[in-house]
Amino acid sequence: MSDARALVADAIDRPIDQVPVTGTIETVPGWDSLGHMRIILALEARLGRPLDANDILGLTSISAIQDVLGGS
Amino acid sequence: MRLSWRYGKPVELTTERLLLRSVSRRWIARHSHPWTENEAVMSSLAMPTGSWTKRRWRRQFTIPDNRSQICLAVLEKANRHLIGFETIRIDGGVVAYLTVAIGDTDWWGKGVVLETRTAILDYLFEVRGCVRVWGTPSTRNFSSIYNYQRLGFRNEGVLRDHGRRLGGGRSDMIAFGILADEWRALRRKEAE
Repeated sequence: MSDARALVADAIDRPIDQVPVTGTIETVPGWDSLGHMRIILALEARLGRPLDANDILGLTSISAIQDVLGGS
Repeated sequence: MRLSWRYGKPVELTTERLLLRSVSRRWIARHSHPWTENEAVMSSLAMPTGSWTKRRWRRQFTIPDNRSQICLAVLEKANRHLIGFETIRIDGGVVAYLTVAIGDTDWWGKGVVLETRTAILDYLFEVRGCVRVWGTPSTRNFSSIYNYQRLGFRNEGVLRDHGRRLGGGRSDMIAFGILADEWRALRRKEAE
């Protein structure tokens, strides 16, 4: 899970301790509309491919991002 | 929120930081024309930069009548600076379709759309009596998707090849919708 936390923290330019495992689109400070765009672009860069619509719609929590990255 | 409104009367909504006010097609086209040179703004609209005459830009907007077509300038309340616009199309008197553009990029990531849309949804459901509000962002417009999700809209499906893609080709779009009862339930929950 630290992989997803690090990716999100880096994308939104926040310390990783502000990005808890239980963090969501509503609770993580800095996860705003611009942050959301940066998170998805960072995730696509990491994966080396564009995400499909269903993946994008599911990216509302750290755990969901970890699932896309390949499990914890 | 209580508003005094009659059919066709210009709409004016206020939020903590912003003022939303009915404007004409000519007004919004004239004042937003400088944004056509901004690549970030135009790409969010899936439109190219440059070569936009004022007349051509104006023709991108429908003519608002404050009945079934509304164009709201989004102004900074403190100084009336234009930062964006919202458009609303009301079909059959009860189903509203939304679009938005925030042209002042200094305001990006500052919750403008969450703020404007909250006021607009209150207006559409509680004043205009709409039963449903929806929008269709591109699957690549991540900021817009974020705003729909944060506001509690439900994903109602992917519209394949529904929109144009900047640079050519087609883009999938997502249908997001929210019903009046769902919005009221969210507002009650917020108030608790």
